[in-house]
Formats: sequence, C-alpha cells, structure tokens
Amino acid sequence: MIYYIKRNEKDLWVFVLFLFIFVCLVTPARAELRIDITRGVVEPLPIAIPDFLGKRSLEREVGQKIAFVVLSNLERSGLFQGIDPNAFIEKNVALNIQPRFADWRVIGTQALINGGIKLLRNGRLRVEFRLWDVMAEQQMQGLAYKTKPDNWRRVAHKISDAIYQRLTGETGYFDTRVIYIAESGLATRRVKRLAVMDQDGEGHRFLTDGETLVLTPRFSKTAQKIVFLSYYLDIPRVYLFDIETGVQERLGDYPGMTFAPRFSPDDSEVAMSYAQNGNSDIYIMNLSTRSSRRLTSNPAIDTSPSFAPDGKRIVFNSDRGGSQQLYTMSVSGRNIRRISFGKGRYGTPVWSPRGDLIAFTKIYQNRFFIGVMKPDGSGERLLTESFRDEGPTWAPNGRVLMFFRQTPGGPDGLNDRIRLYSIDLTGHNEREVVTPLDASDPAWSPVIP
Amino acid sequence: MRNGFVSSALLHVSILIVAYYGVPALFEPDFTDDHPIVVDLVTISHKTSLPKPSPPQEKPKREPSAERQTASLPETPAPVPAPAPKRTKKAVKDMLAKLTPPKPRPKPKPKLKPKPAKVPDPFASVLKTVEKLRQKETKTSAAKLAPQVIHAPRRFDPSTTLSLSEMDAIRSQISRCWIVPVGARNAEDLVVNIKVYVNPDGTIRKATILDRDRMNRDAFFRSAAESAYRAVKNKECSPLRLPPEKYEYWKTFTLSFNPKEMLGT
Repeated sequence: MIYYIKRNEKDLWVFVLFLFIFVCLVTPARAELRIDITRGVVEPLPIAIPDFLGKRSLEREVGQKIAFVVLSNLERSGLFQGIDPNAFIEKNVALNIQPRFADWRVIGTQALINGGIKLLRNGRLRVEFRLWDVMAEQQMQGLAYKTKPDNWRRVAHKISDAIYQRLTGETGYFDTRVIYIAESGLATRRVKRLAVMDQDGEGHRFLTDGETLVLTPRFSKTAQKIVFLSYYLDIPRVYLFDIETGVQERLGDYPGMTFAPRFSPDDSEVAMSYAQNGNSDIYIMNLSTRSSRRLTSNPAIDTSPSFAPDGKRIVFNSDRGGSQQLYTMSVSGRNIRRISFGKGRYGTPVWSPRGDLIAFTKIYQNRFFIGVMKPDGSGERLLTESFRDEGPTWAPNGRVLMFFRQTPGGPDGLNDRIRLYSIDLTGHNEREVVTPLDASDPAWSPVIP
Repeated sequence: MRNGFVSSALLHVSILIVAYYGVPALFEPDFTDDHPIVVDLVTISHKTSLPKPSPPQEKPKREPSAERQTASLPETPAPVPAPAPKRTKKAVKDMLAKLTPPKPRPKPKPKLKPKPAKVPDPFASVLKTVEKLRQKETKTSAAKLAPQVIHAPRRFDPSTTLSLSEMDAIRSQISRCWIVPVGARNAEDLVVNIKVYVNPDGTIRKATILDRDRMNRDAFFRSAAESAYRAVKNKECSPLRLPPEKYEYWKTFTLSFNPKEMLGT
C-alpha cells in the first residue's frame, strides 16, 4: 500500500489537500448541549370543549349534550381536566376557522375540541369535531360521524374514544358497557339480578328477573354474549346468555358444580372450574363441539381461570401450596408456575387485555386489596385497600380497573353498601361508578364493534 | 488504473474514518480557568440538594447562607444571593416538616447518605402502591409532589460550558410544564429528544422532535413526544433562564425527556 502511495505522490497530495480543506470547512465538532428532563408533573391535561355549534335548535341542543358527555368521559378518565366555559374568551369556535390560540393559551388550555352539528335532509345528523393542540397551534385530529339523532350518546362516546386515543396513544374505552350483579333486598334474602349499562352508568337495564341467584358474569369478545354462574333449580352451573336474543343455555351437563367461567380471547372456548367430591379443577370447553378437556388434576382447589390475550397461557388461583396463591400454566395444563409470593392470600386473577399485567384481589390481615403484577409475578403493586375490595375487571385498553367495594354500614352487616369503583392503573383517580342499586361482580365489555 | 483505485479507496476510507470519529476539535476555545466551575458546584448544592443535609442541624439557616456568600464571592452577581435565602428558608421549612420526626441527627457523612436516598422515596414512583402509602401517612398527591424535587443525574461534562446549576435551572423550568405519560404501556421506553433553537432572550424560536419516524409508527411514542413538545412550547415555562453571556453554548441544545425515574423502574 505504502508502495503505491509513494509512487503516486500526486494523488497523495490531492488527498492531503482535500483533507485540509475538509478540516477547515467543517466547524469543529463539539458535543452538543443535552439536558435530561427526568421529572415532570402528573396532572390532568387542561382541555376545553365548547358546545358543538349548530344553526337549528335541535342541532344546538344535541351539540350541547355531546360536548357535555365527551367532557364527562374524558374527565372521568382522570387524565383530562375540563376548563370552565365561563373562562372562555373565544365563545364560539366555528369549525372551519382556526381558533385564536392565544386566547386559549391565556386560560391555560392545552387541547381544544370544537365541533358542529348539521341536520341532514334524510333526517340524520352529521357530527363533526376537531382536536387542536393549542401549544403547537395545529390540528391533531378531525372526524365526522353520521347518525340518527337519538343515537347521539353513542357518537359522543366514539368522539371521546378518538380524542383519548389521539392524546394518549391508547385505545379509548368509552364506547363500552359494563355487566354486573345488581343486588337489592335484605342481606338475609338478597335478590341478585344481572344488569347491563354503558360505562358511564347510562342506558341501564336488568337482564334477569331476580328469581334465581346469579354470579360472576363475563363478556365475550363481541360483547354480545355472556357466561355466568346461575343457581337455577338451586344447582350452581355455568350458563351462556345472548344479550340481544335473550337465549340462555347451560354449558355442559355435569353431575357436580361448574363455576368461575371466562371466555377465551377468540370466544371459541370457555374456561371454568368444575367441582366434584370437594375437589375443583379447571376445564376448558370448546363452544362449537361442546367437548371439554381437563387442565389441572390436583387435590387442591383450582379456580378463577383467566386467559392471556394471546390465548396461550392461563392464570388461576389454587391452594395447592397451602394457601391460596396465583399460578400460570399453558392452555394444555403444563408448565404450572406459582407467581404470587407476597404475604396474604391471592385470588380472582384477571389477565390484562394488553397482556402486560395481571390484576388480582389480595387478602392480608383481614383487609382486601386490588393489585397488579407482571405475568412473571414481579412488580406487584397494590392499588386499593378497604374492608372488602374484590373482583377486578379490566377496561379494554388495560389502563383502568373496575371492582366492587363493600363498605360496612353497621355491626350486623345488614346495612352494608356494595358499589362499583374504578381506578386508574397508576393507583390514582379512584371513582365510584353510579348504579341505581347495590352492585357487585362487574365485567367490563370490550369496545363495542 | 490500479493507482487510481488505491487512492480512491484510501480517500473513501479516510472519509469514513472522519465521519465515524469526527473531525478533531482543533479550534475549541481554550478554557483554562477551572475555578468558576468549582464555585458553581457549590452553588448547585444551594439550588437543589442543599436542603437535605442542612435541616437536621440545629439552626441551619445561617450556615448555608454564610457558606454561599464565601462561595459566591469570586464572581456571582448580585441577583444570585437575593433569591437564594427565600429558597433556603422555604426548602428548610419543607424539609423540616418532612424530616424532623425521623432524624434529628448530627453531621457524620455516612449518616447523611441514607437521607438523600430516603427523600426521593415518595417520588421514587408516581405509580401508587398502597403498602408504601400506608407506611407513610402522607396522602399528598403525586401531582403536587413531583415538581418540587428535581433530581437530575449529576454528571460533569466539561464539553458544555453551562454550569450544572444552570442546567438544573432549565430542568426545573421545563419539568414544571411536562405532563408525564405515566400510565402508558412501556412508558419507561418513551424517551423523547427535542432539539431546541433558542433566541438570545431565552424564548424558544423553534423546537423539533427528533425521531419522527418512530412518531409515525408508534402511537404511544407520538403522544409522549407531543406531551414533551407541549412542555417546550408552553409559554409558562419560557423564556428560559439562561446566562446571556453564554448564548453561544445554548442557542441550540437537545432536551431529552425521560420518564423512567418517575416510574421507579
């Protein structure tokens, strides 16, 4: 190599000259200043939603209601804080004109949503909205929906989902329903009915008449069907119920008791416990063939199976180790691993729809906790604590949990109050879900297709 | 032919080498005076970590201020001492309120060490854990706690001529406006870098989110990036309090928003 360089001095000089020019022209490289921001604030994003505009009174009325429902949804998530409309400087933000961002910044707004409603000739409504980033002064999203006027609430939920998703990156969970057990009557003679409602408590209706005791309802992926435990004819069995058609059928005909059912992620199977002669094990039933297979065979009580979202593993609780703890296994029943090792007992595990966590109920020193841990059992965090918190269920985006809480009303336990609560995964923003009666065993539906 | 090939190859290799290792900084200004940096290191302790060691001493108010005066004698201009007493008093009050029950201890250093480890505890994670909260009885929300203590990794980087305290000042300014995406999936991986172009008066002329590719394909990253961008653009946290004489060094810089520490992971 050196040989060639020596022989071609001319080339070498050209090369050296080139390097020299390069070095002279390029500004000296200096490590650029870099500042790490490792702390911030955890507070809701200030958001302004003026009433959606319209020309006719019907349009304005619906516009007002939609803006209200969207704001209530977003505020309930705990991630957003509505700005008082009295503070608005720009009162009416027309759809096709850029908002006066400075006016919104002054009152502390970071995100602005404006919208308009138009009644079309065919009697349907066209609802349009825009989401603005006030700081960056740009539109983040704009969508339009067409719907029947009496379907405005659903549109409001869809808009909430769109905004939530755009601002957090997470899918929304506002266009969902919750099924639960409505309880009424004396503690000694409790009437328990299946009830369903929108996630915000609207559109409430009962699905059963209360003649039979029902427990642990669970939604299918399409939110059309539910499985639950019913004491029909005083025999506890798992039933499948179609919400739309009202058809109800028993799953399997076993001599013993079946309970704790849950759909597989693709709705093709149902996992449940089957108890016979004092021993309960976990079975999976195929819904099309109605054949079932046994996953566990242990003299201990194995129950509360819940599928991972990929359908490959199941988490359940068992007292095989002496106390009630959480275990995971493959859907074939192999690779059984204990994952809970904290103090106390663990039950009702539910795998998060996003797969990263398992929610559970923990009982320790006569107190109840709702907590989460990673599927390998690490990173346990307890989110709530009370006299009795139980039965966690995930919002479809895996960010919020709903559970029921029993608050003692007196020493005899007759006036206890049982209500549904929701809590964010961060452990903040605990809220009661409004229900007309006492409520337990909630199950959150997937996003309604 | 062959010669041409060799010299061309050489040229390419040398360009690659230059591209990889960078051009030597031949014209880097020569900073000989190390003392201001030392002084600044003292100052930073007033601004940030000072309150922790001081409260356990019986009457901490005077000591730090005396210390500061001597420390700042060489070059600190008048405005610096003025706000400082306020800060110290307030910080001392805060810290006393928090720390008096656990430790009224004397000086020794090994004993001071555990304290800094203990103080960040309430902020170690914004994710609530009931057990931890039970031990402490304080039910203060993370929203209020978070902005108060700004703990940045303290690395001394001689290539930047902004002192640590000046960098800390920017940190505290920006972090007040940054709403952290705590509940997002894998939030600890959502590190957002924003290149900032600053006017001489400290206002931000332009800010660019780096890694726009990831923004387009990752919705979580996009929302994290946008929340960081909002913090930079927020007028409440602007203009940046930076020394005008060092404009050359901060006219462009990169802000790296990293929520990892807040999540306690």
